[in-house]
Amino acid sequence: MIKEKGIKKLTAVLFVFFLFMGFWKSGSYNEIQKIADYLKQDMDQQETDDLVTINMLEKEFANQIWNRKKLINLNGKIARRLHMQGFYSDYGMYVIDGNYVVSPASYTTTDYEYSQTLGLKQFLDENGIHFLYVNEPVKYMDDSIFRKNFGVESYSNRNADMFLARIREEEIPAIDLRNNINSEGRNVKDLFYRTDHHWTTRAGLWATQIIAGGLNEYCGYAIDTSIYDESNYSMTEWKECWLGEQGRKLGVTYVGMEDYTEIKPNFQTNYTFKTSEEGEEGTFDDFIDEEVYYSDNDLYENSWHYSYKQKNCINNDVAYGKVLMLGDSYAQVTQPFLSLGVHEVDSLILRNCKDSFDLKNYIIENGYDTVVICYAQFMIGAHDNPSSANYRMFSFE
Amino acid sequence: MLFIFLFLPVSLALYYLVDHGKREYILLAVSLMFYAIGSLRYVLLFCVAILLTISIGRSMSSIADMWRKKLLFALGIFLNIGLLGYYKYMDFAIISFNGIFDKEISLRNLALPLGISFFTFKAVSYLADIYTGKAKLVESPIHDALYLSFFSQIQSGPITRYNNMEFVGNSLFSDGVFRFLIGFNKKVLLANILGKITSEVFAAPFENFSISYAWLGSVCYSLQLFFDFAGYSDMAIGVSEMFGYRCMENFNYPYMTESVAGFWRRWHISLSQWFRDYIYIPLGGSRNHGSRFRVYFNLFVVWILTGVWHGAAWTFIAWGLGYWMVISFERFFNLPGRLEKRKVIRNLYRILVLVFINCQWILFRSENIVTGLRFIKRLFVCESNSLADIRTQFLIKDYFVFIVSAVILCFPIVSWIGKHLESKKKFHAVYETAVTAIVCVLFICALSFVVSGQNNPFAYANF
Repeated sequence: MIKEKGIKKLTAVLFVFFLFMGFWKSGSYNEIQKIADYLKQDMDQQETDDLVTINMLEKEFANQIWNRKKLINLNGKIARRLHMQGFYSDYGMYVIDGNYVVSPASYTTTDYEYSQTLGLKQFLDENGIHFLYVNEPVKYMDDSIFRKNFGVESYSNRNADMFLARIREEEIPAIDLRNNINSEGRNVKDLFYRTDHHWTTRAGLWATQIIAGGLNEYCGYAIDTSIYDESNYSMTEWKECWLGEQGRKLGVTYVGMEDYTEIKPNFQTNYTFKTSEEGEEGTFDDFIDEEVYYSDNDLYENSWHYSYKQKNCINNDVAYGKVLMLGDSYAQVTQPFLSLGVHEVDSLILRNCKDSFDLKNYIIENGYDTVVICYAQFMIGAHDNPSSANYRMFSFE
Repeated sequence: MLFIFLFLPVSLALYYLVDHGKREYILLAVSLMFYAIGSLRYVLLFCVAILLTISIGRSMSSIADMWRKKLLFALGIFLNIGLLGYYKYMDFAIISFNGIFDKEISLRNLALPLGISFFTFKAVSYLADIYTGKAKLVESPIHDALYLSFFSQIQSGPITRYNNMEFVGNSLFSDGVFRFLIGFNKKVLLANILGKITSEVFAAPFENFSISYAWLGSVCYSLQLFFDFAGYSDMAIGVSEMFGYRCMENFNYPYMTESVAGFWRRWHISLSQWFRDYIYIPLGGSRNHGSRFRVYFNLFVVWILTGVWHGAAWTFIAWGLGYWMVISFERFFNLPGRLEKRKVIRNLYRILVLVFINCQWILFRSENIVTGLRFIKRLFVCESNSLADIRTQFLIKDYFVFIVSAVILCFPIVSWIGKHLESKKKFHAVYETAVTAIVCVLFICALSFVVSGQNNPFAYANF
């Protein structure tokens, strides 16, 4: 009994020490002012949207907690030890063999995407502008992996099949990169990061060659697609150097780190970037923020995928073409590569535009000869959910 | 996290740094701050309710005239029950009235003040105990205010009695810490994780159900609710003890019960005892009063009120009625007492009791009675659904350790081992050390789950 008391006392001492260390190291004292401000709020006078809730403070505080990353890693280690593949399914993530993270997609009728795409096509036709739709795959080509492994349905590929069939019926030129994966006998897993929903830089380059071929086939371009052969590029490889966006939620101890390849052309490049009124001269290297690779690498902060930047640009070595690429974050790598074969490539991510943005006016004002939509197939159906970050991606009005 | 790394260390520091005589003032201030953080809109109302209740209680204690005492008592009860009625039941009453009389009275859409049901019951017991002379009032009314507002108990109980709020001193501190750690682990590592299965199943459309899926969801909900509420109670008891106050137990392995009536002697004990002492016994309790049905009427009142206390919806009334019927049945047929010598049937009855409780929890969780009954139907009759069966297998595989641990910890296995080792000193010391180490390690694991976003509010916090 005396011994039991002793152990409990020791636990209590450790607990108190832990509480006060946590208080100090988490900067809890800074929260006192925030809580004071929270308590001063006039609940009945202020707009609901302006009100700070205790849940907001709690969430903010959880992000600065003492040893947060170690705790996330511990959580990942526990999930890994227990072989929990769906533990993070409320974040829309399942882990399949090889620590490869996949996300299911809900069924959609594709009606919204279809009508918007059709409307845009008609507008572009009326104005003599070419149009090309590119379907970027997701990390799995067969929806049934979800059914078989996890007992849930995913409709990502079926939604894409339905949407592409409908727009093809309307004679909208469309490239489905899944067909290229199949015909070339590639494994889709090789094209994606395990811990991130984006494709790799190599996959981006591979896809760009096919997109350039599509511009030649459907939009009157004559791009020498051999410029996208891997032999024309220097590749710098890092092993186990970063963690994707999905991996950050699961913890590096769960899914492990990711390899990365930086790809740069071997040939000379000469760009004018439209970052200012006069434009800024530069080379392909200016698309890449190498700080990310060489700075102190915070696994939970830096995304190496985003080291490639989408920049509106003029390639001074190419004479023809002015393309608007309506893309998503996959275009971080495709837009720079595509610009190697086109005189001018601008990119636009509609989810970042204001509600008042007039896409059609923008296209006419800038005199594009071609509009390319390059969307990951999970964009199809995003409009079904008003709270989705991608809700506006197919809003072309 | 704010509670653990801000509120608790600051409260403990303030409490233990001031003179002994001022500690109750500090604890009261901290409790009011806790209430303001949790329910900013109603903190003023809360303070007024405390003040009025204490004023009425203290006045009653100093009055000898029975009529004036009765009047004050009625006033106190009316005020507290009135507040509860207004904030918790007004919209339910309007909806029901509109439905019955085809009217369109607009709803109040009032947010529920934090822990109002628990506060009201404590206030009523405080007033009733003073009225009947059971309460031994201490000199300082600050103690009364602390009793009504103590932050560790205000959100979800236990509904302690005034006399039970006994200050013991620092000697309880280490027990309190240990108890808090156990409660936190129960809440985060079992309730929250099982809650992921529960949330999924209860949100799924019935066409996606199979029998196994329905059973998995409902059993996990029964376990989740237990570990959520018992975990909260452990934390509440633990925090009370850290501040030197004893707090009554609220759970005693309820799923070990042999009968439905027995279940309620083990589940939310402070609530059951409150209903026993302040409703059932004043109504006459188990005495017949010349009519053998009187006792069933008394039970009926208790169970309707128990249902209504849990929530302003017909599902809770149906839930309460369900318990009334089965407990009356057990009473009428003397169950499980008459099965004393029939072990097999007694065990069979025990299983039936657990199935019944499981079905009751489904009703408790459901949006309405029809949805609840449709869910319950699917426990026994459901079209085959291979996808749901695969899903069930996957969830069991993924959460196996947590489900099995939860089932095992429904029984007093850990304390049973401890008891058996008590005579073997060496082994017992190892056992104590091992249990403490496991609890501490699990606490760190639990923190990792919270930081990783695997957290949700207390299931019992909305009552």
